[in-house]
Amino acid sequence: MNTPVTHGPALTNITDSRGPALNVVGLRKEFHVKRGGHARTLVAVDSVSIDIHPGETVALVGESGSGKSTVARCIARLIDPTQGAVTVGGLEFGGLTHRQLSRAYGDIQMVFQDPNSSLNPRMTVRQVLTEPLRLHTNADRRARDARAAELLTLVGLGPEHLDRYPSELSGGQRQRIGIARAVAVSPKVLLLDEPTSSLDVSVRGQVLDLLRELQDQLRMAYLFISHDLDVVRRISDRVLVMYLGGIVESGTTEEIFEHPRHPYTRALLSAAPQIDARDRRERTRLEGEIPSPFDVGAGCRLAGRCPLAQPSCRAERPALSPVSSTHEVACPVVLNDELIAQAVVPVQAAVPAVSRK
Amino acid sequence: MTTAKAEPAGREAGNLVTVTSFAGGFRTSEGFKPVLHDVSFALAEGKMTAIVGETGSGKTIMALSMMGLAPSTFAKTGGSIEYAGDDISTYDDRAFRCIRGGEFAMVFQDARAALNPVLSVGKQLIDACRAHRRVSVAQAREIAEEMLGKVRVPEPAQRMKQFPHEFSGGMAQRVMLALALICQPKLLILDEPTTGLDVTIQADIMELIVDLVHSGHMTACLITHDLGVVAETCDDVVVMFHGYIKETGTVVEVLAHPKDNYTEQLLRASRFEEMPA
Repeated sequence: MNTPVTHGPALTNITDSRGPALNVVGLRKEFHVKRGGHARTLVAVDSVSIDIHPGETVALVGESGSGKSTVARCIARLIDPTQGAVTVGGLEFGGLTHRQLSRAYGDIQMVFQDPNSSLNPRMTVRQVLTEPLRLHTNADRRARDARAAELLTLVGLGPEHLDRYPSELSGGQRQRIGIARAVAVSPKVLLLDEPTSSLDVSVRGQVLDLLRELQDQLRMAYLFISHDLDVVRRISDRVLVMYLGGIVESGTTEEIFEHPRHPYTRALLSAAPQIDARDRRERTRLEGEIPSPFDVGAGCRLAGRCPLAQPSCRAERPALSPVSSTHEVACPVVLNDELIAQAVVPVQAAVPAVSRK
Repeated sequence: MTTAKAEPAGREAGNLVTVTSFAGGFRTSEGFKPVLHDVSFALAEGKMTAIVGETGSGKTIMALSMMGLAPSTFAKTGGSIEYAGDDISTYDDRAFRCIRGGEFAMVFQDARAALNPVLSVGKQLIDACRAHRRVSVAQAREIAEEMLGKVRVPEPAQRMKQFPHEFSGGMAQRVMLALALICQPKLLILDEPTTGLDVTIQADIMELIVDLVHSGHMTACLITHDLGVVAETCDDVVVMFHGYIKETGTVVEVLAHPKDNYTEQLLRASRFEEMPA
């Protein structure tokens, strides 16, 4: 088990510098759940396709239950997708055996939300950082130790932290260790699952700066999963908006934040509290709360809550249609000027604080 | 209305709670650790005041002290919390019970953890109501149902029979709010009421809180780390850092023209502006 594993030739040769670092096509994940005595199928993720190029950050945005973390777990094969293909650096993950897969993990790494629970409290920083090197490279102990010290410097800490335990570090420092561990084996793709949501605002900025610097140096592709729209706006090149397992809108960061089209995207953006009055948008309101994924009908997932819903919305699930070459939206209503004229409210208008006395 | 300590001039008459030079700390195995230092601020009647700070700023222990809910390892070392002509920081648990729940109510961060998992929501509402108001069970049930309707829980009569685990996070927070408001408190303390909720749910809950506080002529104290929420909902703000008050004033003033260095840093970080090293 301790024998060092080298990257197989298949892994190092296929790398095409111009192709996407991560390519996901038609990802679908079903869970079979026993409910009330009989088995039912829950479709947690449906028809999700993602392309991320080296050096690019794509954000996956959505609320709890939208399936964004399931997407990440399927990509990393922590769970097996029901359908769809995941290709990392040109290597198709689907057919890999466990042994091949554990080698391939050198190319794809994950940073988790909560650095308190994703670091083993009984391992020192040195052990945390050298473990991936032991598994994925054939570096000897001295080289691993040197790399660990180098990684600490890379994430803004020093060699003095090597022999500390996670409990001796602050939340921000722990997240830096989580990042250093992920970066240790120079992966092509980094999956970041809410990496800043457990941090204070003053630390959040520093961690985002660190991620940006590391990306510039190492040309990694980031899949940045978050519900924090302010963070997403600052770090991403492109944004995918997920709702109940499906992508409802995708576009460049500017397209999504300045010209959101889908009613869900608008509702999400208009709900985010803003310090400055000029950043506030008129609320786009959705009825009720996110329904149970069991209760999603055949039509648009948002139909039951959408202020623009038409009878046709409940009949057929809309596919993503292009708005521009980079912007796609899964809502035929907003793409139809006649329908939109009847119902739509301006989203851009800045308004004063909500319901002041 | 400038910096710490100094009371906003002309506000004294309209203050529901006045905290003066309050200090305290925790008894630990390594000795006494002070966590609050010379904390002075006031909650103006009928207004919503935010206490803002990051992890370890002392904002939650300050709120718990106002509720008489500070853990037994916490000891006050000075100052006072004045309410209705009395220093409530000298109250023992028994004395506190007369105001807690009835006149002061609190909403906690994780509603599903704060509610009793083995009692139906209706039972919890009825019990809270009967603890402070002289009403029959039937009357209390009516009040509880009406209260659930007020916090916009759909089908309140059905929901009364359900247990906390059958509620979503947002719905559970509404129940928590109903539980806090059922005795018509004068002061509502909200400790990070929307942290952990989705943004669309957060916006609905905050809107509801602002409506209820204003329509019920209540005074509210919102503990939060989110300056966006403060800007959109509160009237006054108290900024805390490492147990000290850094700045107090109206939200409009403090956010537009922060006088304290830390407040400015916090604002810059929240707006993602570059910070000087």
